[in-house]
Amino acid sequence: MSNREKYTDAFSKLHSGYASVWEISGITHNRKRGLRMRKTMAVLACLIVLTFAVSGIAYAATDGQIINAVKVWINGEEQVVNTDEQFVVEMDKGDKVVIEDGDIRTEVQAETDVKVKQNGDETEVEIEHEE
Amino acid sequence: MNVDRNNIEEYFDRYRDHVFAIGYNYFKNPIEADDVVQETFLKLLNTNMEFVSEEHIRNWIIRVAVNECKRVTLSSYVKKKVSISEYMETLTFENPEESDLFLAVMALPKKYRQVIHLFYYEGYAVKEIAEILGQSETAITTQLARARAKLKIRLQEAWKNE
Repeated sequence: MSNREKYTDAFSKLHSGYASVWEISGITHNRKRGLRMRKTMAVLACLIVLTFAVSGIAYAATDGQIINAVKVWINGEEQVVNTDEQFVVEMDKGDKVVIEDGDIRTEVQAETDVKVKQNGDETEVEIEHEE
Repeated sequence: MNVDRNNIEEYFDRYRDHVFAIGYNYFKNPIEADDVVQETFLKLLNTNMEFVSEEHIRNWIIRVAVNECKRVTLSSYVKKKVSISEYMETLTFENPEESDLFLAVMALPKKYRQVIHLFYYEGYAVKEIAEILGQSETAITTQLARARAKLKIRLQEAWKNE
């Protein structure tokens, strides 16, 4: 057996821990958000926490039908959310969040003044500011 | 040829372990080696490069992997270390010669390990290795010779003279 064959045999036993390329894109997205959040905290910027009572809004807008499928996009990237009654979206200043809950579409732009649009009408949302 | 979400899995399956081996060869740590895998294939997924052939894609992946090894080194993250002996317990070598060769290569200085790996595992010529690593062909030839000499001392008859 040649040196090359021996080397190839030995090093072909090494395998990555990633089973799928889609694991990578998911992990890296979370890591990037983590980096951005640490940087934001380091400069003492505001972290805006937005809380929705999703099921309550869905119930009111859909005449009693319960909507279970919720989709959330942060800066154009779709997030995985559970379908509990409430969920929290964390974002930094400048982030744009879109939330679709059945027929209800909510957009939030996290700037100095937070503006919320829901189905074309402004609506009140509970916002907590943390510094 | 473009690499996009429709065909990325094919290239990932084909070259994932090659990239991992480059990363492990550099860091001697499977965690950082997987960081190299992550960064390399993210770059592949996001590149707009028009590839002209399969070989072009492969060469691009290998070069990016080598560069990512240097970039991951600069990261401020504190990485969990897995010793070589711990990691070897997860590997299934078919005979002691394979494990001896693996240990002998891991005992080489990093710059020799890289050259040896690109030569024997990836099958690159000295000129190509020089381009990938940004060094002269003379430097690569010297490093290859010295690496072989060290392997010969450690492995004796198990490593043939070349």
